[in-house]
Amino acid sequence: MKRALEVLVRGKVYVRDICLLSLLGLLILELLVEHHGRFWFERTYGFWSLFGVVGAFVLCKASKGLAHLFLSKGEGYYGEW
Amino acid sequence: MVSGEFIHPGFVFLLGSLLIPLLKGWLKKAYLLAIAALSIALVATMPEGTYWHVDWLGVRMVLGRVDKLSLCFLWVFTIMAFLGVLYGLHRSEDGHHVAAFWYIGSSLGAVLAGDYLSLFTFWELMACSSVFLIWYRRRPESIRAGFRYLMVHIFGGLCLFFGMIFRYWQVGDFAFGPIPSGTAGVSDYLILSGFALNAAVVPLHAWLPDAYPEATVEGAVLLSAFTTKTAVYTLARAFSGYEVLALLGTLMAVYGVFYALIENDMRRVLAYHIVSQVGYMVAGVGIGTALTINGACSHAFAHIIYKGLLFMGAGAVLYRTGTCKLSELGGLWRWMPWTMLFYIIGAVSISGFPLFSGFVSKNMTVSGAFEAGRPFLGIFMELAAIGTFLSVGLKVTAFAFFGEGGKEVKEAPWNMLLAMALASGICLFIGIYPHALYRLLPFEVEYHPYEISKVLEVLQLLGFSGLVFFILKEKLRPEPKINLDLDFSYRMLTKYFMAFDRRVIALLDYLWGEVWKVVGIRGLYGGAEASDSFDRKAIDGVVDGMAYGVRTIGDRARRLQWGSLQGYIALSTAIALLALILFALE
Repeated sequence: MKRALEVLVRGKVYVRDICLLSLLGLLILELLVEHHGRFWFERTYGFWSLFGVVGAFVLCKASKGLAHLFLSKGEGYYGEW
Repeated sequence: MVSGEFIHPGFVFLLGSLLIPLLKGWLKKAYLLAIAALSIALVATMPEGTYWHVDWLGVRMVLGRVDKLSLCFLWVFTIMAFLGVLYGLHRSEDGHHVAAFWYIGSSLGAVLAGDYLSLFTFWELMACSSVFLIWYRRRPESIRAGFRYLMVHIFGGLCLFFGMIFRYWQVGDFAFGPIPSGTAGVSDYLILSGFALNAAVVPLHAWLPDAYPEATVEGAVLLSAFTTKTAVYTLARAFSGYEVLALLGTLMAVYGVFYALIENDMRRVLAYHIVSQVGYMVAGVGIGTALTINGACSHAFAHIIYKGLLFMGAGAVLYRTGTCKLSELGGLWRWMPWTMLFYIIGAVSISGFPLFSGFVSKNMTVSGAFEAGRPFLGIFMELAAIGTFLSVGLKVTAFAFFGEGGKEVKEAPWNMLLAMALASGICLFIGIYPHALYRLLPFEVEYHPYEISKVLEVLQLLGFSGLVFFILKEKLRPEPKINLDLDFSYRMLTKYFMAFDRRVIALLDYLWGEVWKVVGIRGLYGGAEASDSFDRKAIDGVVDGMAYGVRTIGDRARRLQWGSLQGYIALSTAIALLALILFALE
């Protein structure tokens, strides 16, 4: 188990490339698949890929932004409360 | 405990706990596992129907209502109980095992309850027993968190209590069943609030990420399973189709992942994900179609197992390293590879990857939202799915198990690994063979999770959000901080009240003490002296005067009796003569 993980960690560049190629493969595969769905966005090519990118970006930026703005406090903030 | 073919699994745990302190070593461990295994066997052979009708206080209680809905939850509760007991087998304190058994037993009792009175009894028992799983960590923070947890749950219990009493006045019974949303009144919304608090519905959720990360390693695994899912069961039983639940559930789903992205404590990340995942279930109940209610139940089933698995993984890290803070962890793949593997299986399950349990359950609710014509709810649930993968799937794995830093530790104990392996197996089994789960659902609905377009949609959604994570990875690096949530309100309220007490009330108390010393004490002394004087001069004077009078009369009478017979005769003769003279003179 540990040895398999060592191989993966050593070859992390290849793992990254395989992941990126897989994403490309998903976009190509989508061209071949018939979309079902009640709403327009469910039938639009690449909608969920774009939603994944935009959604992740918005969530990361919004959560970190609000954390730095006022949500985050020192670990002893509440004291004994 | 036995009624025809029905044996109450909750009472097996409650009564079974009594023998725990009497057993030692391997016998005790075997006994703990045997009780949990027995409960699974009881559910497997449990026939549908109502059992255990008890008349108490003039009310008819039903302790055993078995139908499709309760059976679905009983199955997963007993399986999780077995996994939780196995995971905590190394724990030496009997009290911890007893508290765990009472918590599990009362949760099963709540699911089987057919009336509000028995439901309320088990509901309160759950709160009172589960708090010990927090207190047994024995840290000052845990003791305080436990008290906050208890106070919040007492408040929720009171909402349920007053709701059910008002409802009894209105309808004349305690029957616990569906309440159509059009007929709901104040009493029903009070009951709903009590259930919603236990389900951690925003804004009544803050107790959960406050308390669960402070629980014991083994206790948190059980806590993650029972309280919120019992509440989901009660909501599904009574309040399906309530719009407020559809909206708040979706809000919960996004709210939880939002906090999970910025939290530093691994178990707090997971706690916020309970809020998020229960959000899907609450929304499913709120939308109220057969597909979404099935989605809520199947997601509860899958969630209990993978969330238990994730808490087991985080607990194993805490057990071995002494911390769950991502800012202090790193590189654990070298030392705890099996824990990491099982954690990742839980993480991909919760993220909803195909072939894992979350995929077949979560998408049922999301598809149900779209099919019910609620696209906005569906879209926000998909947004929450992105956040889930980013935080539980990628953030925790990247910063705790990979990366640099951390310390050399041993792999988790065998019982923890075995429990994690079994839970991982269930996640995979449900993901690969979803109809085993779908067979347990309350409604007969045709749903096929593995349509190629759905699989593709999920892979794209998660794959591309993962890409963003690796671009923003350094920005998402956890910081050793805490984040304010709504527990701020009651924690700071208490803090300010105590500060007010120390400064203002204590000052007033001091001033009053001084005034009392000057005016009060002196007045008291003066009053006491006056009273003393009155007592001595007036009261004593009267009493003493009477005493002196009696004594004087007595003394005189004594002197008349000097003991000489001649004297008495002479005196009598003199008195008689005096009387005759007086008579003659008249």
